[in-house]
Amino acid sequence: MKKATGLLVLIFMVFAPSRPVKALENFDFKGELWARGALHLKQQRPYQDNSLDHETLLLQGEGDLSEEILFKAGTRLERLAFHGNGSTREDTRLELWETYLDYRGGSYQITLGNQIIRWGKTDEMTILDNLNPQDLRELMTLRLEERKHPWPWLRAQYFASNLTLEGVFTIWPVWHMKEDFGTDWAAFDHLKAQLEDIPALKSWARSLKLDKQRPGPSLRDAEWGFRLTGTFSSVDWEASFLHAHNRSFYYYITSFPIKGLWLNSISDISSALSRAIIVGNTIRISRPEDDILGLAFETTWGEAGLRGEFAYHTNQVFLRKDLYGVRKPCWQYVLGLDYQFMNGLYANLQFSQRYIQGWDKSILFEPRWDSGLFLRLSKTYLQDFLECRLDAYYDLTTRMYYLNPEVRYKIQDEYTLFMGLHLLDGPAGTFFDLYDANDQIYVGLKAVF
Amino acid sequence: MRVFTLFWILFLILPLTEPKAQAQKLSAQDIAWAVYNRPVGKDSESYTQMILIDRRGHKKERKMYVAVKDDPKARKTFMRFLSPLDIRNTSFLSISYNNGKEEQFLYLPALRRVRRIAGSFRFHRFVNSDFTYEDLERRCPKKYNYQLMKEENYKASPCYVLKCWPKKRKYSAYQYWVEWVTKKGFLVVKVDYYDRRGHLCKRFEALEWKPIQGYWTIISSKMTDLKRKHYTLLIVDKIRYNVGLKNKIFTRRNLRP
Repeated sequence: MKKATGLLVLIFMVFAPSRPVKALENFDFKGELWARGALHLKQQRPYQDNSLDHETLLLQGEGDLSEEILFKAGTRLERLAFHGNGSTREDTRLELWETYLDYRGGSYQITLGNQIIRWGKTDEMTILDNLNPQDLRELMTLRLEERKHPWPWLRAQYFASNLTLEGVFTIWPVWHMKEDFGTDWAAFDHLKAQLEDIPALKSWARSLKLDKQRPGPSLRDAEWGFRLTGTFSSVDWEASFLHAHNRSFYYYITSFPIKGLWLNSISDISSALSRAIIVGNTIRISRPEDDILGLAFETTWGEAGLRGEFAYHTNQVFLRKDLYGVRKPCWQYVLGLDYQFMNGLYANLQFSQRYIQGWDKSILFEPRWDSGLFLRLSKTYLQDFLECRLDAYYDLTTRMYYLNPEVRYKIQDEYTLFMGLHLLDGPAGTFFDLYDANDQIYVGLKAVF
Repeated sequence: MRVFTLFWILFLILPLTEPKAQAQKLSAQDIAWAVYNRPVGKDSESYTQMILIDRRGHKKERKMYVAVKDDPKARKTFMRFLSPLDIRNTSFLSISYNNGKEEQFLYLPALRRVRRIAGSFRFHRFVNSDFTYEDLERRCPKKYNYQLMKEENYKASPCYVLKCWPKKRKYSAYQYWVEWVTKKGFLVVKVDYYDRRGHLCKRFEALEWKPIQGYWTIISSKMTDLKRKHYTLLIVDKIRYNVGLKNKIFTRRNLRP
């Protein structure tokens, strides 16, 4: 709430008009209701959830304050509930959504406020789109655009004839949304409940907590970056630099209250406790800085679209087998090709490869070299009102996979029904193996008004 | 989301200058070039609606703003959808260079990203309608073969009837099409499309056309899917020519509303 208030004050101070504004012109209001319920297909682990439901209601308005200034304001009510083990864990929140002022001068544009910014050129699998926090409470089972949340940024763009220079700045370090304990997708899964079942550990398990040492808004912890984009001979390119904090899925754990652990998988943790020593009840997490240097391009090749991204991280966070965090430089690239066949089939293939510098065997889950393929196939029927789509990811190195077949039907332009499956698995010791029991079938509705 | 080739505006904005060589016998290629090079003013902007009507008579409506500008190198077309809500603010920019090269960009509000569009998208349906992107593009005669079949009246207007087929298979989803081109103004007022098996599959018909500010303009038209028995009406609600549109409208920056 403090963030929202501070942001609004800042917006007012910067954009306060020198003369009174009569009223918003061309005011436009829209809303969106999105709801999805999912049922687990397997019940093979203790403490596992049976189902979840997730709903959002977004209300958004925008209008012109003057010819150059646009004002946008939005709020979103969200509820995410996990059901299982005879209980429901519910998280309901009202958030400030996209709320900003946008000033468009002749060759420059300044936007201040809670906004969603997209960097990078590739599609679903992007490694340069790091300016907004993502909702990872259901891992990556939401689409990228559904995972992204707006964040308060000051964004300035200068448009030259064939180049655009962009700078971004925020005093609030970006932090992805994750559950810590007590859901099938949480960072520590149902560990607490598992440990509470061990009589000797019951009281300790109950007191187990995370200290996230979340930095407050400050210049010292500010994030900033710049991006240069242009076009050369029908090739759109971009070069970017972002001074960020940890954007990895993993927490950077600086202190873990159990010593002597050496895991090949987090699911081993309760059995590994027998040879471990408990030294406290607090897992301490910090948010180390990570500079991300990026290059990207987009062009067409024959009748196909061709896209690529390269990212170099100075301090990417990984997890060690003793559950402490470790930072390593690493680089990664993604190459993508998309094509629409004459019979209406759409295919989008992306290949990615990552290399961790200074890798050693103590790193949990992640190999030194990691290569993966993402494929999206989609075909539409009934004048495009019915879409059948398959998203698939296969990790060539670790052999873990993720499949998401989905059917979408537009009942009306404003109402879309969808249903599908999330299937993921991997060999023992891989990251997706943790979520082996999380296969689910889901059904949902999206309505715009 | 489907990708757009935007030169469909050709069907909306069909200005006319009196042909100088009307008395001469025109070849099929001459007629095709006359259609391609028909002047459209310095620029134009229009508000257009598209009505989709299925075999049961149910209607769905799309509204859009379209701006077109010619410069010495290219024709630029900018489009923004105004409704329905699910595609509102989706925007497109198409640049058709005079040498036949094309560049297209699409902005999808949900993704917040301007995406460069590949040519393989042009054979697909335009926002659920019976038009494909190919149907709406400005066809460069270099890529097609033409044969003058006959001359006959369409809705009381004398027309050339051309058979057209692509020089390369990748240029069209159709095996061939037959088009009726008005002698006065070189407007394409009717097209019969034949699929790759040679079956008549779709029909385009101009329903009303008239001069606006001295430029012949198709006010309403209809595309019928003859197999599935549904059709799409394209109606120009408002159009203005030579309004002095600024170059900044036709930039990728402007795609984001």
